[in-house]
Amino acid sequence: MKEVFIRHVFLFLLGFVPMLAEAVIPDTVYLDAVEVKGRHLKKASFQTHSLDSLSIAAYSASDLGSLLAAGSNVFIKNYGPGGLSTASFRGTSANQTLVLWNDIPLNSPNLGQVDFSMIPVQFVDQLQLAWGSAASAMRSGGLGGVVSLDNKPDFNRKLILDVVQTAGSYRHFGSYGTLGYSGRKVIVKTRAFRKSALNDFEFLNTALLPQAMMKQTSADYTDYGFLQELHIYTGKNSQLSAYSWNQWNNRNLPPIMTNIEKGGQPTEFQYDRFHRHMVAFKQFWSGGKLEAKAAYFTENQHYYLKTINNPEDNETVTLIDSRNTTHAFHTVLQANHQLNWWLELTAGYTMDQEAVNTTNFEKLQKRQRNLMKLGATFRPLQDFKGSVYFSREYVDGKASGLSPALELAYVPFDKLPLTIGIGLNRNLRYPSLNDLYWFPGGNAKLKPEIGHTAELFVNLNPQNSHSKHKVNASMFFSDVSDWIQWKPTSYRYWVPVNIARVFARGVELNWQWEGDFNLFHLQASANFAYTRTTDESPVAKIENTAGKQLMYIPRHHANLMAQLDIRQYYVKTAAEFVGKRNTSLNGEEIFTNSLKPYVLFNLALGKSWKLSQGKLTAEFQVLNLLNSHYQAVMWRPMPGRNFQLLLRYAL
Amino acid sequence: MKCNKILLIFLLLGMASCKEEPADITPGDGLAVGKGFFVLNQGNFTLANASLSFYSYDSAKMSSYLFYKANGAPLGDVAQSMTLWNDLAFIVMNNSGLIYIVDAQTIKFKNKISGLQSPRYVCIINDHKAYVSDLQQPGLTIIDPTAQSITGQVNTGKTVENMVLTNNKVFAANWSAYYQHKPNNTLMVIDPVLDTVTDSVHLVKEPNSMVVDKNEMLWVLCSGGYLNEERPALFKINTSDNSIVNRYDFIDRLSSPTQLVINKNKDSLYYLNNGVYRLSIDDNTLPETPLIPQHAHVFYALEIDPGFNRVVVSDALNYVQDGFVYRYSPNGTLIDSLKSGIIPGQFIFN
Repeated sequence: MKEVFIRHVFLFLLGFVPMLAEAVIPDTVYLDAVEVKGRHLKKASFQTHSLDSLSIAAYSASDLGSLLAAGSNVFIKNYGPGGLSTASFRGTSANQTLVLWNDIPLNSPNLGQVDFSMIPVQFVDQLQLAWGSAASAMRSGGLGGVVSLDNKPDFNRKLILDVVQTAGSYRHFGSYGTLGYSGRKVIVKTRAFRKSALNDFEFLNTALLPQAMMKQTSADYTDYGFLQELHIYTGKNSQLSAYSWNQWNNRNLPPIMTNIEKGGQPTEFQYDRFHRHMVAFKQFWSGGKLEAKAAYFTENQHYYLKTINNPEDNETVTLIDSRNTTHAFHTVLQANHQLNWWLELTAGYTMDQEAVNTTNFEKLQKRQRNLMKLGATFRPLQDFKGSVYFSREYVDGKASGLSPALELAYVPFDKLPLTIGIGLNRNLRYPSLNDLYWFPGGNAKLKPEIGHTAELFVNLNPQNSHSKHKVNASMFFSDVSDWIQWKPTSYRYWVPVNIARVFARGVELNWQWEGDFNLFHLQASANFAYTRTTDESPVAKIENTAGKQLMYIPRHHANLMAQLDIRQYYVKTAAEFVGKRNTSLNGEEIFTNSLKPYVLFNLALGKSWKLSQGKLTAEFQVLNLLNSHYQAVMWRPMPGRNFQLLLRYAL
Repeated sequence: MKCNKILLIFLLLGMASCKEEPADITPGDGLAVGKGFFVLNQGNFTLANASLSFYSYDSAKMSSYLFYKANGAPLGDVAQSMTLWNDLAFIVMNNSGLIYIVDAQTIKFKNKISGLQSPRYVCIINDHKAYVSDLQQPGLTIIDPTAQSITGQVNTGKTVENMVLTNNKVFAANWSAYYQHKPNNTLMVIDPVLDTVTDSVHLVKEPNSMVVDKNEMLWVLCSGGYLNEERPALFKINTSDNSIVNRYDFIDRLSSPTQLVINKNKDSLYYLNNGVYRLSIDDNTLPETPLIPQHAHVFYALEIDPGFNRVVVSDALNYVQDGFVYRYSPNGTLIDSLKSGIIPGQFIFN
């Protein structure tokens, strides 16, 4: 067995020569990538950050963007309730955040990014955040980081029933349900939701003269969808899973505060429908496992804008009816094997075929991406471990350079649960199909963005009989060259070019704490991030923008979540501080060049009743308790203090 | 206990946190711009960061963000044009769909005309009539500049960009085919009394700017199309009979000449084409070399200072930071450069 494996590894290494790789792939069993998720990985491989169960449970009737904003160092740029919500790690852009669902990328091949408002937390069992070396080890593309969402089969729970109903201000209603059966060998589970809101909140419009209180208009949305899962133990050591995630998102697009009196009675909306189907097979053996996954994703996006001449004749003046369809077929093969007590080898292969048909391209555009990866985790000493990883990607047959990732961790003291470590990696992000083929302006000659990251981290996990702490501190340096920016040209349309060189650096702190004191149980987590991110390219120096903080990346970001349980009662709180964000590259302190810092504070009071079967919970939430008037995106109004009621029944 | 302290800190932070006030600058009651020129900075589409700057001849300084300083509110989303009339300034906010009317000296808000779809330019006909062109609507909106209200429509069947009133006619350029899919290679002639289209002159695609010379000849610059479908051309048109007197074709089909302006004596034309070019109204050919080379600048707007015949040109830089205004002597020697706002798109001399 070992001989076979080593032969395969050897052939895999040779496979970095493209032609040979193509010849070898069909006959080669590629072993798993470095495992970066789950308890096992945390012990043995790259460092990732898991959101605790408290956070996930607290936001189970919300979207992923809201959860990450409140419970992580990921910066969420939110255009308003129900509106677009994008995520960026460590001073990078939203396009450089890779989102994986059971190891399959959710990033749109067309746009390159993910709308986090369209991911219900209810559909997620495990949430891992990875950056630096860990992100590079997962896949290419996550120059900033990776948000990894997983569905975890939980066998032998019998009947599964969990229903949540929410109702709140601005005609917000949400219904979330999970129903299923979990046997010893089979799990059948359906999760479904429907949420909607009118979002007609009042705000002071400071952007239009004369200033006045106004009601938000055209900000309503209705989203619904379901996730169907089937998990079967097909043998003693094998498991087959199937997933089908289907969702329909309908949102009107409100005007910004300066444009509320625009004529033509504009009707502007965006509909997104997606269907994501996946089958996954796992085979375990002593010391290792093999995973094979195949997925087909299709997504339809419909943008519509219509204005009319006047209400009487209803004559159309403007009509934009843009429809984009994407199809993507993904396969993943990954395996790992523990060779001996100190060495574990992993390898993987992914193939992504993408096709985009849109009125914004001249023709149907396709792309095929193949990624091969090989890694090892070694623990030569009890207090020292390391992981090393190499990957190479082929896009339409053309090879990228080798992307290595390395992480070393050391436990220097016997009696102190302290780990110190470093990470180094190189990562690539290929341009989106929009960047390449948008008409006019798309640049088919774009090169991938190249990121180099170095990281120092310290983990401390003290605990006693009453409480346990988990503290992570890290310092990072990230250099992204060939950063893609859209630039104006003499042809009067904008063209993306590999022009910027962005240097991001900063410090991140994460603290989780849990303790019991007599009748009280307290659980809390807090995050703080300081991020400096600047364009240091020669062009930026000429344009005098070098050294200026990039737009919409706060230097300071912090949040805190806490829950205090007293018998059947509980109090939950979530606070988020977002520092000043530049909205242009001007250095001058003037109103349109930056957005002011703000603090959001949410408070919830709840009570649970244990029933003969199951548990009933009622919760009253006050959102934006301090009634902060703030803008997350310039001239996009946000609601003030508002309320929500939640009822939950779970078996 | 420690946690409670942290909670308390967050709570206090929150209480101290900013309730965003309408304005952090006291509106300038005493603002008086004096003699000089305005720079209307377009700002970025949907970011509503347009602004108004003013260069004062007395102080030789540029003052920026005048509208905000005077009124405590942003100018809006894409400042397309500004027209001075009597003591007022009509500032057309394209993507906000409105026209702000302000005092031309104090920049204090006077009134607004809203409910427009995508307004571009104002052409004053008389005290009670002005036309407003629109990027989306297939017609002109008629407003009363005195009453400051909408009074009617002119049906043109296609969108109109720049307008010039001369010889008792309004010449209206059909520049865009984006929203109304009609040919955008024509110049319409409109009777401003009857508010009807009386003639149409066939040019090449995208007539973007127009001036009238001392001989009452209309000069129209066409860029040839968004995708360079046609060769750019400059047309000389007789405003009496609407006939084309002369046509100057640009050699480079991929060039995009814009911003045709004229000096005070109305005998020299200037335009941008990767540099500032000048030609006499009597020349028979287009100039081959620029008066002012573009070099690394991104020249965006152009005007000739009527007082001194100086060339004033803006540099939009990277379009997301404050641009610069360069002033050159009539022979092209740089006098000074001044920072204005994001995408300086128009100069208006008072």
